[in-house]
Amino acid sequence: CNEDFLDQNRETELSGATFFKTESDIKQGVNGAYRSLRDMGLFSYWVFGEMRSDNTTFQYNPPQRGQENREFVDVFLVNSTNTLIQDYWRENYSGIARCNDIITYAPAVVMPDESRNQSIGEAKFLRAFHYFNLVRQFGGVPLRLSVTQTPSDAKSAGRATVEEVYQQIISDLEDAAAKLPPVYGASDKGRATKGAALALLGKVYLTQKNYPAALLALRQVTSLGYRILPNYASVFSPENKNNDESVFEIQYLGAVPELASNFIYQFAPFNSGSVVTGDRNTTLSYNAGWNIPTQDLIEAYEPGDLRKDVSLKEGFTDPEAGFVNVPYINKYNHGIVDIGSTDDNFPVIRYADVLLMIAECLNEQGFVANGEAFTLLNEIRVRAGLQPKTSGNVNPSLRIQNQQEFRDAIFQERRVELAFENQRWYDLVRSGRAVAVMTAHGREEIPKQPIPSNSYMVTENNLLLPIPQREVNLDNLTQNPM
Amino acid sequence: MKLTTFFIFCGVMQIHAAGYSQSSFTLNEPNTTVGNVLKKIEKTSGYTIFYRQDQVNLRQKVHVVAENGSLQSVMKQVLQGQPLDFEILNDIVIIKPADSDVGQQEIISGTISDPGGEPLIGASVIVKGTTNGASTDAGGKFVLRVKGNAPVTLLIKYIGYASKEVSASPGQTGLKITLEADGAALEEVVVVGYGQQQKKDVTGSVSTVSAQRLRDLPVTSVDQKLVGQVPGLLITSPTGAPGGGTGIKIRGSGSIGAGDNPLFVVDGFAISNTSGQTYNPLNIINPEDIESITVLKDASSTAIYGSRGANGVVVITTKRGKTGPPVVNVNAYAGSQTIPQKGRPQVLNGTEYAQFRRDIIVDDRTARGLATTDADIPEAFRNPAQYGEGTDWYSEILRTAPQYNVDASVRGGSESTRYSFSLGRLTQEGTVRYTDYERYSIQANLESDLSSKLKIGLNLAPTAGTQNRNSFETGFRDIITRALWLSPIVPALDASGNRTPYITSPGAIGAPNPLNSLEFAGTKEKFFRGIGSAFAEYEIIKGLKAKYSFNVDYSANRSFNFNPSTVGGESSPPPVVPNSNTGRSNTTNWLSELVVSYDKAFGDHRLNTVVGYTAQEERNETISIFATNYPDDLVKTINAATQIRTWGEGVEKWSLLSYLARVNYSFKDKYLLTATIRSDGSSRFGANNRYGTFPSAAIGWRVSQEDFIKDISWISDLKLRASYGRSGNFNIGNYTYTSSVGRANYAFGGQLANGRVSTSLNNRDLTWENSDEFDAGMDLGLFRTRLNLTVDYYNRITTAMLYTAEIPFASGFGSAIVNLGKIRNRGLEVGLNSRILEGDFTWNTNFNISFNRNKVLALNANNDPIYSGRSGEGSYTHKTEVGKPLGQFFGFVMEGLYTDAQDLANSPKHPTSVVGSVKYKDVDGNGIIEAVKDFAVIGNPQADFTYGFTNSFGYKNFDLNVLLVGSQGGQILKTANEYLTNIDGVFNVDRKVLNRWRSPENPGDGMTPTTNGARVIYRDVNSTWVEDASYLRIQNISLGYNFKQSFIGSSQTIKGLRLYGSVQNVATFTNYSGANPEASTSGSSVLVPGRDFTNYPLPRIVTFGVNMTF
Repeated sequence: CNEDFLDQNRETELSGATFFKTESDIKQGVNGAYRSLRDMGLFSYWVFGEMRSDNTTFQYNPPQRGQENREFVDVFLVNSTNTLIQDYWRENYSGIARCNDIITYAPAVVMPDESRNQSIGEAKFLRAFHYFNLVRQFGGVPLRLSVTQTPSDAKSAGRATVEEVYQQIISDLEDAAAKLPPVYGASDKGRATKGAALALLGKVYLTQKNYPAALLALRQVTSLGYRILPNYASVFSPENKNNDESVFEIQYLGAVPELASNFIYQFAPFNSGSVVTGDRNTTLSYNAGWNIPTQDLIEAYEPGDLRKDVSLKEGFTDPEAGFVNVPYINKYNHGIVDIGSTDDNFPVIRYADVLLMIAECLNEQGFVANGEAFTLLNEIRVRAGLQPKTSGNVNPSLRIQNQQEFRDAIFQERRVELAFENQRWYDLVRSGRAVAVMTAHGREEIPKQPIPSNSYMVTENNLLLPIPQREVNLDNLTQNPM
Repeated sequence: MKLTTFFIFCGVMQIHAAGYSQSSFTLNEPNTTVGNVLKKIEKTSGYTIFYRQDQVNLRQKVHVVAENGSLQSVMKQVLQGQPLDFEILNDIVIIKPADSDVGQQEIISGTISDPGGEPLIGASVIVKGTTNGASTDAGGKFVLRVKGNAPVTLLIKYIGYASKEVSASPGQTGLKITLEADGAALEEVVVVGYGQQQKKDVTGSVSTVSAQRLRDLPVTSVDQKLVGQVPGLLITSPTGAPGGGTGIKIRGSGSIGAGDNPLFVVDGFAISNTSGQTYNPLNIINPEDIESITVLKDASSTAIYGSRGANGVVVITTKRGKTGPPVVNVNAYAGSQTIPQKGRPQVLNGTEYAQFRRDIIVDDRTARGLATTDADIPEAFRNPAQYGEGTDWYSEILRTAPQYNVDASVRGGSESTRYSFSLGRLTQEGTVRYTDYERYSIQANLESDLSSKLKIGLNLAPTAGTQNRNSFETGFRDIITRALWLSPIVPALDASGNRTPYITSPGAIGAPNPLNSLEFAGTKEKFFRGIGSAFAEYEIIKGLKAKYSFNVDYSANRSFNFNPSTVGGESSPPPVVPNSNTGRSNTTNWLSELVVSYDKAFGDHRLNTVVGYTAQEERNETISIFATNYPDDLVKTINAATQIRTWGEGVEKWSLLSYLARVNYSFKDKYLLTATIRSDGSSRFGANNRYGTFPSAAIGWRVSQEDFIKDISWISDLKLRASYGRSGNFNIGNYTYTSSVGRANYAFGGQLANGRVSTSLNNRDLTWENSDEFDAGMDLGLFRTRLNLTVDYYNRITTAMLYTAEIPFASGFGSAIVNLGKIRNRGLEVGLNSRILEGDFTWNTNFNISFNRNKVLALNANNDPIYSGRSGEGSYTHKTEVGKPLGQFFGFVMEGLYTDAQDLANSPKHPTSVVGSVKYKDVDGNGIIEAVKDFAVIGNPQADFTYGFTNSFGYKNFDLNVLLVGSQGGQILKTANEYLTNIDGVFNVDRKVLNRWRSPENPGDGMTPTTNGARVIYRDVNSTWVEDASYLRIQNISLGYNFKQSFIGSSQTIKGLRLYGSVQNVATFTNYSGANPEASTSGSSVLVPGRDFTNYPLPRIVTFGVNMTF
């Protein structure tokens, strides 16, 4: 027998030893890197970006007590062994590893430079997005920038500092912005663009309170052809994916089960039967009743705000019991494509967000009554069917007289404009309002549901999540102060 | 041949008789002695020459010349000049005084058979105190001539059986003599890897069980027969599912990631085996077709299997035809299976459940300072007494189930060709309704001597059948588990007598009627497995043989499950959208093997060598399809589905290339040496580490052959053995050394975009794990081997352990397969068998006990513990750490309950803790109780010792067998408590919840908490789940009756008839509260042993059977 007898290669999968050798390999690897967004976007993304904030909570489900870990994220009883935290960590690093493959292997592959640059740009954008998620939730995290080759180099060199992580994010986004095209052809819609990289860079600088740098990045976005759509509802319609207002969104495809979204199944009240989902064949259980809008948020909408009815419903009508007052998120509810499958994309950055960020930067650099910042704010308000806010307005609720009042107005506008788009938690933290807002939110929520009495004991320390205990053990990481 | 050695060598000769007996001789011995020429005849002819030294002058010079002469003519020459005569009976030549033929001769004749009624061919029958003897022919018949009329005593001997004395009168014909098996006989031939050896020459730790010893155990597969039979072999019965498998372990667990199943070798063919509870691969062999099973335990006997021998080897030999007229055997049994009352889970009845649900609401309101009125209680719970006992769902799904088995065989052969055909059919209904198992098996083998040098053979053994099952032992949604937690206040049948389709009551988790799920949503598996092999053996020169064999093992399985609209699922009442799951699997495994052996005796030396070259390859292809959105239940095939939701195809291949060699050497029959080596090249390992070498050596000293022992009459045998060697374990799955790139699609522009990502890490250095084992043993036979003791001590150290190590997620991966760590298993095995009583009343015993101590010596660079298992709350359930045994239970440590507000305020607690809720130990001392961080080791699943004890009694035609098995000192983790003591009120619960804390005045048993709080941590793994798993089980009692000649004597057709009855799983004595102290959850591995999440219960089986020989 010859030696070949012992060479038994995989037939159903490729081997890493032979992959990442051609342009096609690299392109497929990039697509695979986006896949991480799809998985994370279905759950972890909103659990930590939205449900943890005062915008939403959960519907207490007495018979289904199996999801305390989710509830504990919402009520600030999270600890380092909470599996959701570990999942979030894993999902982000899995995405980072996929990007590292591209960034490491693409330079040596024979392919047109334009194509190579785009692939590396996309990978760097995605890597920056994941690190931005991690640094905002965990603080300094291990910086993994190269491919893990064998089990022996699986360990990290410890946690990098917050500044080092941000430095890496900024450098990745700058490189991505330089390498990515501003627009794609129809079949590539949804890939990261130059605008997406710049908008994210602006958000990173804004988070760091580096307003001039943020402004520099965001200003460039305004010249890339984005616009505010006239109708708020059409921004979220699956008919209208990757529209002119969309800077970057997570792509779902209802027609293909493995790529479908299912937000409404998670966001519908668990006792709503098929009334909300329209799916008679799927029973809602413990996976439903999450990310439930709070009364406080419902009241945050000004009378006449067109966005409210698009974004949420205050209850549903049960055929037997009549109206049931359990609110739910309606923004991603456009009917189902098939049992368990919806076609809704999920926004990551919208142009409305970019405009509000520019307005915020301008205001932070100096209050100018009825200046450009006012114009930007009011462009958003008017689209929502609301009156402009101005300096010296006769109506006190529309009057902005100083920098702080403008700051508050932006903060309020972001809350309702970007509700359920996973911006709220980060806005609370970067504005320094998280402890106060969440404590107040807790006082409101505790009496409503049978949640533990020590819920919502919010301190500066628990604005950061604990490092997953598994990673503390396996990767020798220092734990965040609790 | 001297009388004393006659019987010892008779066995060897018998083995070779078929191949050697020759009827013509060419001798040229012009000047030799009688002794020499007799030896020569024996050696070349295969005849055994039988004489008394005091009658034959061996030193007498004779002249013998023959050219193709007959034995008669040669013998006449040899005995010329001496007053001697001789007689030839089959393979025996008896030399006797010439006058012995003088005088009146009477005939004594009869047949000799084994207890199963099978004739024993070649058994010797001697008139006690004379040299007058005969041996039995192919029909087990013998004829003797005796002088005079005085009654004589016949002494009957046969290898592997206890000798027997029978008195007979001259002239008596048609004697029926049955020999009882004697497992301890030294003459026994033991099948070892790539050959066979006489037991006395064995230097390794090897245990053999003959089919004879295993009769009357009407079980469905071979492994079940071995329970309690062999020291060091632990067979557990985790499941009672029809067609389900057992857990098999030899000398503890030496591997944490590569499996601890032994290698199974069937008629020389190492078959692919994975132990599973749903479909047991060992079911391919009809237990009735098995001749013997040998368990190879130490490295000297397993190293010949190289990279696959580390977990021990089970060598199965099936029955072959024997020269003689056809012997037809028909065996049949019918049994009835029931689930014993003891051990059935005790949940609340209807009244208690309604009261419990009512009390939860009252207690909750009371704790919040609210009064409770009827309006606060759901109507269903306002009057608990109305429900009475309610519905006992567990009993609803059980039944008394029949089991039938019939098999028939015909075996026989001419001088040159031997055949064996058998077929069997087994039908086993399950004790859980709508489950069953059916098997058809055929075995056909043919062996032919084409010439005196060339022998060929062919064997075909196809097996096929079906298994109807459900997704048992998979979690809280499985049917058996569901039957425990469903609301007991819902009747099984509605007012019109139809099954209630969906079972729920207010606030409870609902699920379909389990009977509907069993009847309409089960899984049907059809299986086929066929083993075929052919060989040719050529004797190149005397003693040097080459054997080539080619073996194929083909299996095809298909399973299908359709979930109709009318059944539904947990929290999903019908109607639902129908879906189906389809699985197909094909495996082809072939083995090509060339083995050359050489046997040579010269002077005091005996040498036996084997060298071999083998190549083996396997290819397994699987397809799985989940189809859904069927429009209705009318057409169930996949084409009726409107959506294929998930699908997959797998191809798994491996190949193995090996060179092997073994030398057995003995000097003066006293000093024994065995050395083996095997070199394996495996496709499973990285290019850097493709070949491995596995050497071993063993020595033996037959002390009893030494002069200073020989005279001690009560020591009949004493052998000391020692061995050391290395074997390996290659069970890491295929391709794992190289990283894989899998599918990960995304969407752009509203279209699917193909994506690929790395899904595992490279490890090109990956290699097999090594197991180095030292074994020291002693075999002692006392009082003419009426008492036989075997003791073995072993120390096995596994290094470069293959396991899936968790790695930091920051690497992009969660785990990687590595070679790290070290485990030691050491232990002591004692086997003792005895023939306590002989004569009319016989009593034989077989006792074995095994002690194994398992210790992790190293794990990884930092020796970080390995955490494994997942509780329902996602917490680890097991911990493996250096210095401790594998797979320790890991969980909260119960300290009691918070007795009052002050206790609660001053104690560490969980956010949800309240007065009366569960109080756990704050292991990390941070004042907060939280899962995993406050976990400690709470128990050890490893038993101190396990034992088996067989008692066989015989009186006249009756025989009685009692088998006891047991295990002492291990613990079990009753993970079923996750729902059985779930106090949310969504499930029915264990009766102990009745003793819960309700108020400071009514604190219950102090260990069962209030329903008011900390419910989630109470249902997470904790020390109250750990129970003693020690048990003693009466595994089997059987009683047989063998009909005497007087009854069937008139029948010319029936030659043997035996009836028996047996009861399996008679009773289990244990303190464990669950049904089966050996239960283990599906998917249990070495790292997560001893979890009981409600298994398919073990039935008690009452069987009646008949063995017939024609």
